[in-house]
Amino acid sequence: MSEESKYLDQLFQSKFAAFETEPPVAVWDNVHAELHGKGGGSINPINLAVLAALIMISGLLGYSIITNSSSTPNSNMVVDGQTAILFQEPVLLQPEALELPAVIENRLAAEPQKQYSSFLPATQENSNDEIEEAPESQNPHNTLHAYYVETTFGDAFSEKARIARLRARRSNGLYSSLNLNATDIRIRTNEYNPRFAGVNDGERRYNRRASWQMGVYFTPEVIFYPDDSIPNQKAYTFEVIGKWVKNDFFVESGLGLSFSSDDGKYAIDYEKFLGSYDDVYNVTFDTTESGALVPIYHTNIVDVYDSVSEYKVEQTENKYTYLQIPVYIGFQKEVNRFGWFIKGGPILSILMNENIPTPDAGNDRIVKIDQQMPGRVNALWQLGFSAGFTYQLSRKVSIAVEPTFKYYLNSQYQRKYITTRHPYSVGLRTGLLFNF
Amino acid sequence: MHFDDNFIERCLDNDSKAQGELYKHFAPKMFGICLRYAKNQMEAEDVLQEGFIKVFRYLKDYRSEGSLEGWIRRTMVNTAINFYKKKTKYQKEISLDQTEPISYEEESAIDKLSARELLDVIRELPDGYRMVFNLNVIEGYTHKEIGEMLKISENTSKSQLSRARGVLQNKLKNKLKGV
Repeated sequence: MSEESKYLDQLFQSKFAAFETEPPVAVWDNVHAELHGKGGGSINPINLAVLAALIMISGLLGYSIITNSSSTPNSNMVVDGQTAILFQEPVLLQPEALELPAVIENRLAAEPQKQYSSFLPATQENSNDEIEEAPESQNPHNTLHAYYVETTFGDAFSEKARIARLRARRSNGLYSSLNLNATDIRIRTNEYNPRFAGVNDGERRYNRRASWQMGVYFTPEVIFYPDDSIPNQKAYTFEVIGKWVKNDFFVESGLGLSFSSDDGKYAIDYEKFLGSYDDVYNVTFDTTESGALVPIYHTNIVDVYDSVSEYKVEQTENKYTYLQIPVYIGFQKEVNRFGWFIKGGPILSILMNENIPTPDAGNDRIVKIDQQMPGRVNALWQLGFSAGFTYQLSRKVSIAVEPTFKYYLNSQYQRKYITTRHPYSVGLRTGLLFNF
Repeated sequence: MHFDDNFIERCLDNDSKAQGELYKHFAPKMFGICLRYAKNQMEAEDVLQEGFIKVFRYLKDYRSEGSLEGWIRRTMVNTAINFYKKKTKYQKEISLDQTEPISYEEESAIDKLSARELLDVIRELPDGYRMVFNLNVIEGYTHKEIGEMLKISENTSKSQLSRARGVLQNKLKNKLKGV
């Protein structure tokens, strides 16, 4: 041994001779729990936090849906100077309703009223007289009324209404400061100004109705373990999701089945099969018809194995099936048929099934099998992020493509054999979205 | 602290207090050993945890002829070896650069390195090198014994130790240079 080797050996021996350090308290907690049968120890705080976030998101989503569906349809219009906001309550155009805290400075014109009078209850027809008497010159809100009527009862916006709305938006900062829950109407004299005609329709900011979509997706992905030399693993996921869209935001959740596999590795101590022989365990005698005495040998077949144990490594393919429950929150924009979106959220994966074949040793006798590939945990959390685009194939169907990135909050392998605590994966999620 | 037969009996009877005392007494030293064998702190915690579970489960096999500390230490080392064996499929081989001798000035600087700093250097070794280095240099096992423990040949053990020393030497020199 060289002098340098001796020096190095002595250095490490002396430094580590009395080396001690306090382990974390959790180690003893786990040892104690294992010895005294308290199961898996303390609750993982990450799991708890993600669970709390999921419950909160579900609560908010539920509250939003309930609020949206139970509130009175409200479609009034606030016109203050040049500022206009659209609400949803046709009843507010009734003369009685206008007597509420509303400030009415200009009655509705006959022409727009004709457009929607048939939708009004019979009790309100009396008020039409007053409306019809109003001269055309004093009713500059025709465009707004048309906008109101079409928004409330029709599918499309008229050009005049659009211009009125855009003109109002451009007027001042009141647009954003108006109370959207107000039930009053303020209509003041307002002149149509063609100056703002032709402004891009894509700048709409009105309160759109929530909608639902259903999607079916397929995602091939590759999982990486940066701190281990485990080969990158492939997984395939099929999902059915529901998507709730409100304005430019959406919440997406559903169920998926994910299929993955890994190489099972077994270290096998075995004794080689050498052959077999008939072991005579008893001999009896019998006489033949001619009176001769013949022995009858009673035997067992005995296999013979090498007395020296050998060692080999067998490889199998283990297959796993996970149930995945994602909850995403995202933002999306659509321009004509194209759309883009970004989203992120937690994903819970639950191990539903594992198919782990045991190695076949043939005729050899297995002395000991040591499974070297770590087992998988029953549940794990991931954080998923993706950005992608959609293309509307028809009014009802869109196609979506999105590269995905998943960060594993805990590994799917049991901790003790794998160094990588937080694997990650990249994939390509493709699917079809159906509008309702 | 003296751990007599009566104390061990209490541990075997699953007496939490006795087990806690035994753990508290030996855990710091054993954790130091686990840190040398493990690739990182979390792996060391896992080895320590599993090692102590084995200690309490197989304490009945302990014969009072040898020291209890020695027996626990061997249990920890065996646990660490089992961890290593389960990871052998995923070994990374590293290429060894030419080693340069350590100068006198460097020696005196290296002497001042703490155990923690040396621990960081050991952890950078590939698993196989780290195992052989620990088993031979620190624990004092022969290459033949190491070969049996790790299921490798005696010559492999020798060559891995030699390479481990070379890697350590380079890493120590780099550490001094601040690389």
